[in-house]
Amino acid sequence: MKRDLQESWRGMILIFATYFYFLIFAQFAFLELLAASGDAELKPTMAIMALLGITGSLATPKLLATLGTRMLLAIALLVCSLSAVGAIVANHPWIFLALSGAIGAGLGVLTVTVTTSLRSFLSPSRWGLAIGLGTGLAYALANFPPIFTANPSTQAWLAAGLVLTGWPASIKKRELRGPRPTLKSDGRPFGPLVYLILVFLALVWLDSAAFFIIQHTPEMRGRSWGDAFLWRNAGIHFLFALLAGWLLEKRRMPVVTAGAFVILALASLCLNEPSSAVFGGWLYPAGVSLYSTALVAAPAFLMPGRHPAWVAAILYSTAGWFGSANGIGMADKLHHIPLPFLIIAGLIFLSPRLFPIFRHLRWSALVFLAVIATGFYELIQGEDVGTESRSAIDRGRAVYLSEGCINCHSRYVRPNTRDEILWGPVVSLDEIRDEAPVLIGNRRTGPDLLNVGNRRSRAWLRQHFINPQSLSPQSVMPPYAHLFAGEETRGEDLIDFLMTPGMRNLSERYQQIQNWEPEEATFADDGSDLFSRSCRSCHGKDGRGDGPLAGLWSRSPANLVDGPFPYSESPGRRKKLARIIKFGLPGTDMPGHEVLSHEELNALTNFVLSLRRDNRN
Amino acid sequence: METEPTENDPVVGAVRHALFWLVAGNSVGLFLALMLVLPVVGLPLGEATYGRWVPLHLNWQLYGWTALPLVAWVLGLFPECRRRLAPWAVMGVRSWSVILGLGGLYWLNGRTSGKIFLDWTGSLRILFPLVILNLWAVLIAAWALGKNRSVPAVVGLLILGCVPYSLYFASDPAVYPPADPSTGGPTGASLLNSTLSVVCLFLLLPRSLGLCRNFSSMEKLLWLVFIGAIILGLLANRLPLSHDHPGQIAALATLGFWPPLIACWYYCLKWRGPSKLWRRALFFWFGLLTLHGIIAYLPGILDQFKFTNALVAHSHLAMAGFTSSFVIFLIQQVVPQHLARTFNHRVSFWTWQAATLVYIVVMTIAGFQEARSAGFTVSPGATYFVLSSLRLLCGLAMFASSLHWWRTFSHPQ
Repeated sequence: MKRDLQESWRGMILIFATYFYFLIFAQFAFLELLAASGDAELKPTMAIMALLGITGSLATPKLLATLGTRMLLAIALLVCSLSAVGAIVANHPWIFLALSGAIGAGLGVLTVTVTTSLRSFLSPSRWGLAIGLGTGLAYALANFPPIFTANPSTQAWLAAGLVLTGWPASIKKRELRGPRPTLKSDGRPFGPLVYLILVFLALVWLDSAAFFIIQHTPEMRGRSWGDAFLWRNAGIHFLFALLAGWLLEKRRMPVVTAGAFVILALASLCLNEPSSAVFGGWLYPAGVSLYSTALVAAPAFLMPGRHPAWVAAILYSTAGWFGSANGIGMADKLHHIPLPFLIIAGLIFLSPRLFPIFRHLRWSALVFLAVIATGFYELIQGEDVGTESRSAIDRGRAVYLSEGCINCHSRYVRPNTRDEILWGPVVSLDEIRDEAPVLIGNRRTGPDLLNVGNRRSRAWLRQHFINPQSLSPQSVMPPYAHLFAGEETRGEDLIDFLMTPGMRNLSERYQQIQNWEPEEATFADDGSDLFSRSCRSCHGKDGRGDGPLAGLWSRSPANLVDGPFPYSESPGRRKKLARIIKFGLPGTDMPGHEVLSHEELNALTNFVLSLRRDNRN
Repeated sequence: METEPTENDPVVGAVRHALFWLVAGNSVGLFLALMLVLPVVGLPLGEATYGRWVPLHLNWQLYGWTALPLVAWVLGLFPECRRRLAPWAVMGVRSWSVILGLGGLYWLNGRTSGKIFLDWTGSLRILFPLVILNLWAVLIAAWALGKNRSVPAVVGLLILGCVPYSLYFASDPAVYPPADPSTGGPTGASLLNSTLSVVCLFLLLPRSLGLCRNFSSMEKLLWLVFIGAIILGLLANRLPLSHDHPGQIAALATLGFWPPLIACWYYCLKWRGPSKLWRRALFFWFGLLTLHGIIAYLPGILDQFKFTNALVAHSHLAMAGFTSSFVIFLIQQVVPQHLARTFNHRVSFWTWQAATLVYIVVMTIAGFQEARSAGFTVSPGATYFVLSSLRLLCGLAMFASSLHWWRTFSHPQ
């Protein structure tokens, strides 16, 4: 055994150098340096790293054929080392972006090259233990308290130096030939290669999500990676990596991967609850070391295929980079690991056992079933518009979305256009963009609704929703009486939402109205038709305030024949009446008639005045 | 690319599904147009009011009629998709349609994100990207099994791999693109960049179909101009966002070069099958769309047209005129020739073209009316109902054409 391990030292160092660099620098110190720089954006930088990581992985088979293993290893190790040094001195977001690309590409090439060539660097009889040692040492050293707690620059220097230890190790290699493994594919809908890629994808996804949650939850970080736990973590990592190596050597790959999944799934469930996070801290390093060792061994020793470089490239680009990016994305978005994800991942592991059961069913039927079942389940759950935990305004916004109001109404007043006089004061674009989703819309089949709260009263809006044509006889708007039926609260919530911004800028609206001057225009007719269309429902056919809807309002509509306003020939009177007709009386139930043309407005004003005049005569 | 058509050919299948969604989308569009003329017809449907139907029309046209032919195109590029992986590809296409059907139920039930054209909410926001990811996995497998290991194929696959993520990201209600504060609409730079993505499809199409063996000087020139336009788009992003800014107008106006340039290049290539008719239609609409877009963006004009039916006319020109012509031209390149001829039926072709043109004219007139008086739609009169009725008739004609294409494509003689 001793001789076997002596034979394998080059491979062990290569694995150690690669893993240590990844753990302490790419996954850790680089992010700290990036955050410390202040200006650099985390997401694009990480996206570049992932993209070039995938590209580097997929390019490696071609590069191996062109440059050979030794040359490629030398280049990749050098790129990784220089990137780490560069990150220490970097001071501009663009430099960080370039460095993240170099780290991604360098690591992509390095991992695929190392794992592809392990059969040339390791003893054929003790390869598993050697991989376990290399992986375990890297994890243990990364968790070694003085290193783990060092500042990011020190960690970067250390990574830059230690990754270069792989260089002398790569100088000499021997060609070892032996049969490549084969795996049975009985009963599976896909080959063993695809199965193993899916297995590792699930494991990396899970690991990355758990890692992100621990890293970004101070309480959990304290309970899992606090100073008191670092020695423990280092020990667990080392022991489980050795255990994994030993099991892999015995061809117990399913035990290793399934064991890693069960442990990581339990750790994830523990991490979802702060009270049980402490158990997650014990389980997480064990699960990670188990599968990480298998991931290193897979391309050269465990997976079938005539082209190990391509196998490694696809495995690391798919399971490694893709899985890790998705895991981080999922944790970032949800802040926990959802149970359905664990169930789906579990089904992947069980698929060799499960799929023979379904072999007589068409695959497509299963997929349809899954998609439809999920969709219908959600539909059956019902709309959560009425959730009590939200404010009435938020619930009202949900109703606005749900009913598709945005398809006919805008919520944006264009500055310095006639919009301002028609639809009310401007609200800044920044303020509007604060809403999620933004409800600017792109059509005005109906009026703009941003300031409807200072143009219409609650009672008017309610009546208009219940029966639009009762107030606007020619309107094509459908009725929404169902939003107000029985115990329904959706209608009132919607009104709450619509009233809000308008009520805030009521004084600005008053000012706009005061600044408005009617224009002289030729009268189209005597205004009686307009009166009949726009005023009769409230003011009655004779203008005496006794229309069919008169009883709905907080105050009875004005009797335009007998008062309330005294008749006078003062020059301001006509203007004042025109203002009331056009803009209504904000704060009361009297609505405006903003879309009337100058001609129509003049005609209607004259008609209303004539009602009083006729009476006087 | 040519293979014998079979029931399980995913390329033909994707086109058949696309045509189904064209008919479905047009039916809903027709119903919407009818509700604007006779609102009473919507009353029996209870809570499924006009606003809930609109996303069905928009999304089925975009993700069904427009996107599925692109799926057919990509599947056709990897021969293994039509051989060993055909069942998987067919399953992917069917899953796509299942999602669109489910989407319809979601939107009618009032489950919506409120993001026009990105209305994927709840589980659908995950399921739809997963369905696309599934198709991408089929492409990867086809690439691995096939012989095409070229760099463009790998790059193309990598870019396609970003599509599900982009969709998931863009559907996030918190994500909103830059907006022009003077109109509340898109900036010139964002319009330029989105149109350049279409130009990119134009540039990729001939080479992907194997029509260009070597890089001709024309093709090189086009790619150089394209790279220049991308840089210009990036620079324009840094300009003030208002459509009054000369830089934004100039950036958008550069789109005017593309229709003649691409038309000249396409004219020199030897296209498959009977596609001349639709190629001409394509460049007619492309030219008109670009011109219409540039004019409609100008200060003074956009200020009048924004939020009016004149921009509905522009959208219709884009979707029914330009996009539909592009999609049909594309379909004619990827399906067997006897199926490609389906679209050359003179009556359905000219009915579609004429109805599209009349629709655009009618809606532009309506837009002018709205620009003059907001009361034109808020308190509609006789002119509104005449124009809306004309639109309804155009919709009926287009529905008839699409139904004819779907039936003849699905049941070829």
